[in-house]
Amino acid sequence: MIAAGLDIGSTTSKAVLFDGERILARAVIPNAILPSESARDVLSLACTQAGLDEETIKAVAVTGYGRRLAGFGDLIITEIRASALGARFLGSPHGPIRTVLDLGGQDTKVIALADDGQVQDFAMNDKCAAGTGRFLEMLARKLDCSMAEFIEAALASTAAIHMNATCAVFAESEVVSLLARNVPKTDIAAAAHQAIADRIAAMVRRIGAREVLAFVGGGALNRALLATLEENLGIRLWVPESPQTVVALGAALAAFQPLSLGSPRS
Amino acid sequence: MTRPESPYRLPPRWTDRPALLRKQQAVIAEQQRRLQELPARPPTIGFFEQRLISAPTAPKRAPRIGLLCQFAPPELVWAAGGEAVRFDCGNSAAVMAGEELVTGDICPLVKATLGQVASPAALPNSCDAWIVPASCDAKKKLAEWLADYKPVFPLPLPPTLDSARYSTWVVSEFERLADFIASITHRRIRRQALQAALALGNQRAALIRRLHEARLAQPGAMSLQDAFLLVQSSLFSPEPIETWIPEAEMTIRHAEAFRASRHRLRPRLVLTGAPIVWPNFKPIQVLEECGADVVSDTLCTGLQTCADPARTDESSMNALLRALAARSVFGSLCPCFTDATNRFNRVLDLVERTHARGVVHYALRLCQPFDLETGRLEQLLKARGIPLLTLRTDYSLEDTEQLRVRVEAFLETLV
Amino acid sequence: MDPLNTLLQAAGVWIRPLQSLLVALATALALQGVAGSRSAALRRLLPGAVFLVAAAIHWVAQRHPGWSLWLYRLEHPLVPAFFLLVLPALLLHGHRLYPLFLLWPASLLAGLVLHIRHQLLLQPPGSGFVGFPSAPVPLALGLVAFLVLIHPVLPLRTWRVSVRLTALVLLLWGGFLFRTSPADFERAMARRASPRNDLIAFSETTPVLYDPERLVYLPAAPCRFSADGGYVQGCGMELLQRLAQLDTRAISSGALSERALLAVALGALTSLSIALFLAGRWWCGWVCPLATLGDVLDALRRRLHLPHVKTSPTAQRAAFWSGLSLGSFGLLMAAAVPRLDAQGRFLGCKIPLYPFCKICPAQQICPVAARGPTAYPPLPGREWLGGFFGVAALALLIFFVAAFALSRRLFCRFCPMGLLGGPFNNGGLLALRKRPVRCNRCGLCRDVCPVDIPTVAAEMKRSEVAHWSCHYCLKCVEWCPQPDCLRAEFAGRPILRSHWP
Repeated sequence: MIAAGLDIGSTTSKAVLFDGERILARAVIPNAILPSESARDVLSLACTQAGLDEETIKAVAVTGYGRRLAGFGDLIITEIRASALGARFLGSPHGPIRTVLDLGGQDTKVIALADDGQVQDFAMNDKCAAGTGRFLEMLARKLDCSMAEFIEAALASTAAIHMNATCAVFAESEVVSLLARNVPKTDIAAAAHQAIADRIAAMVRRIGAREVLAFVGGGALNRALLATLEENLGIRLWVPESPQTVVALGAALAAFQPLSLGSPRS
Repeated sequence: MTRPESPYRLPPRWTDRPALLRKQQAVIAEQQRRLQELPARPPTIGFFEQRLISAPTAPKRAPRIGLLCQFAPPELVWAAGGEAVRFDCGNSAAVMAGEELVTGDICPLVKATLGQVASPAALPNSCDAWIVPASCDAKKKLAEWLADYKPVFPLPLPPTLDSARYSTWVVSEFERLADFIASITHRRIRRQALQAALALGNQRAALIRRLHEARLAQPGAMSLQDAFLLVQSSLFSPEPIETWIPEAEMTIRHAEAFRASRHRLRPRLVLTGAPIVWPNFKPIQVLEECGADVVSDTLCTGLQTCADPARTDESSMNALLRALAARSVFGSLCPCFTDATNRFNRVLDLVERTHARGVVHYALRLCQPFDLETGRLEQLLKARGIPLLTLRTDYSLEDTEQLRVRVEAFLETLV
Repeated sequence: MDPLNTLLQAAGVWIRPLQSLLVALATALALQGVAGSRSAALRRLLPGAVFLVAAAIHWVAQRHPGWSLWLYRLEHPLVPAFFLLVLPALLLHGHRLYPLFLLWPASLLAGLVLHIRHQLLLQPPGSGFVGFPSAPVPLALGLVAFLVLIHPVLPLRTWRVSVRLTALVLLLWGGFLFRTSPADFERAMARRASPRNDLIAFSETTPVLYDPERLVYLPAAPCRFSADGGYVQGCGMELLQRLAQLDTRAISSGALSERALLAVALGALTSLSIALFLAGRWWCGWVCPLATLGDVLDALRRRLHLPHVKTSPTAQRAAFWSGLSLGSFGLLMAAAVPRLDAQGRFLGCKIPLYPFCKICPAQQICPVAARGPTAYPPLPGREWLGGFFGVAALALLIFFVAAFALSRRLFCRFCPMGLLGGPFNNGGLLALRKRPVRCNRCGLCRDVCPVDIPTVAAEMKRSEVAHWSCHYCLKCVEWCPQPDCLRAEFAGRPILRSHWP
């Protein structure tokens, strides 16, 4: 059987095609106006990439913020479960995954897994921009950089300065005042990464992180953030291949599991 | 009254803006609409809904006294020939009205109540006096605010739930309260009247208990939202309880006779936490819509505390007051005291008795006592291997999606 | 036609194990031992097996003359009622076939009625009204059968009152129920014919059914001040005084009569201890006629809707220590009795034979209750220990009336008879247990407790809530509104659970 896992996020939608053993295709697209459109588009893109007809997809599992708005889907699960399934499947070379950190554009999730891979506990930050990818985006824009430049600048920093603001809005004004004091952009970028790493690390510690910690989501592509987090938490973080699509992979995996709990409206 | 009068009485401030009032109506209408979508509503539920919604315009047949909280026993008001009505507010639009008077990190229940108080046509202003138990810090200061508007009796509570030590003191406070009520209704509370009032209150408690047991056996008999509607229509309406009892009896009998045609596969949960006051049924709604069966709760506005009777083997006035103190004060599960033994006991006992799969802890944002109890409850349940989900939210509906994803993820872990 | 008594007579020595407190103790301990066992077979069969083995040992031991006498001292006419009625009722209670079981006490009651009728017909005509003569065992069976029969139809409160009133009637006026014949009655009255005004004579303590080999005491039961004596000697304090009165010098020098008295008294003490171990201070709550009489004043207070006075821990302690001191003092004086001279003086002080009984309020109350206000006895005069007895008796009487009228059962904290039973509450077969997780600390159990015990409400960790002052009225269990929070257990089996009203 070939199953498709769709992750309809707030800014991007992802799709993964899975046949039970191998990943056949991965696709990421920026969102259209309607989640139903994004879902269709990303699914057809993934099918094109794999060279498959849409009819060969026997099961579609949908997750993410727009999971109920996609308009179709044989199974609906939360990103928490999908994240856990995906990370656990990919498996790290360093040992079994016991914690998953999913850093998205608009929310951050920390998931603690039991020894058998089941979700044991989770924490979400989906109300405050600080601690999500949004924070770094806003500050990059303030420094007039692209995200890639921002990350490079942070890696190149030599001095460690401290940002006071925890709120993304106040951080923007603090960046302005730091620039006015002629603090180099590299140091500001590094300080921004420190600030967000502190917030994320606090969340991780509250759940109780155990090795190996899988770092997934769009934010995992940020090497500067990865380094800062590893330093802050003191444990090894492992970033799988294509961290953005891990959740979609998890959804596809869920489609293979025996009868799982869906909500009455699924 | 023997209370010393405060020298600092300020002129009451009113906020009567039509826009805010319309918003409040809209919130109620929205909640009503959502209730219409519930499956398996009892045919007689309309009576309770109507009773609750028409509370602000209910005809006043006797001096009316508003109570703010479970600690103030309505039996004292009934015995004095008065109408008792709870005026805690759960309307998120009323919070905005309250914010015109107080700003800062204050619990939404207090803000909403204040918002209603500042509105001349709202329910609290149909009362002749208010009783405000000094349970948490916010309520203590709220009493001071409210005294600017009407005669207020701030009911002091013991710092610890040590009934051996404080029972006599609480009874003496109830005696003062009885004098206050009598001065408002112009009728002294007589022993026989109080005994009759206790009997009425116990009738209601027995009915609520039956409802609880009926839902335990058959969760499909009635949604928890409708059950809360039933219970709260007896608390938050000034109409006499004698009209509520026969309707409730009929509805509960109907629920007891319910037999599900199919197996019930939803995970059973126990709900604990902050009061869920009409029209803010959001937490229960989210839980039920995501596919859980909330089979029991420890809420003071729900099916547990309301189910305790006030009993005594003696018949003196002192004994009747002691019975009220035992039920209303010392048997309370409120976190405003120095130890959470009562609530933790009840949660653990309910999980075992109802064969629940997990516990949902509803912490009201900006409520310090609940926030401080959350961490300890988490540790306690973790040590016993009982799954727990904490929902921290306020009255507004903006975070409904965030709540949903948490609840769904939690339910996924239960299978 | 007297089937019941005929059967009992025919059973003869076979019935003696059923009267034995030792066999009852063994059976109850076996019940307690298997209470937690998961094996249903063990739970059902082991106690029965232990009973049969104990009965067999008892039957065999009866044949030995020395042992037979001791076994006889540890027998009691109420024990068959325990085996045949109380124990089955406790074990079968709640079973759906329980109504079928009720045919058994019904037939026993019918048997008693026939027995009494038979006895009445046997009396010579014109002998006047001498009451209902009956042998002790059928009477005990019949009365307990009556109480077991009415239990299912009455609420607990009313049933408790019925039990207490039955006990009161039996113990105050019980003598007339125990006569085996009018001649027996005449002999008893003759023994009491010459009371000496200065000393309370031994004979006044002699019950109607006088038995030189066995004394029968109930833990809290006044006593010899009842109308015309009962089958029982008196209360536990009288037993202790009797033991104290024994002449130790005579015993050590080998006087046979004194040794015999010692043996009989020790036998009574042992049987009393076994009874207390079986039921703790339950007697105080359900049997004691003094408390039942005192509660008449309590009922009057309730009728008038007056509040009661909650006793402070200080008052409770004062009551306890006074009771202990007065009781001990009484025993000390009783120990001086062997050294009384011809005028009844010891070291120049006039001391009665039963010092504690002379200050006990029952001295005043029981005759009035049994025979009316004209029977009110005068207080002890000034010649007794320089007026100590007079003052103490009056003080205790006032205390009794005030305590029962105002503060429920404060007197029971003082009562030295009850104090004897206190140590048996913790660890005995009758236990009070709590499930702290069900408790919401409302304090109702403490409010209804007649003795104002705080430990039931305060205990939030363990399940043991026994207290030496508790007299198992079970009001706390009855009134606790939380389901299965408190329960009373006998031999490990719950006999009453708290529940929602």
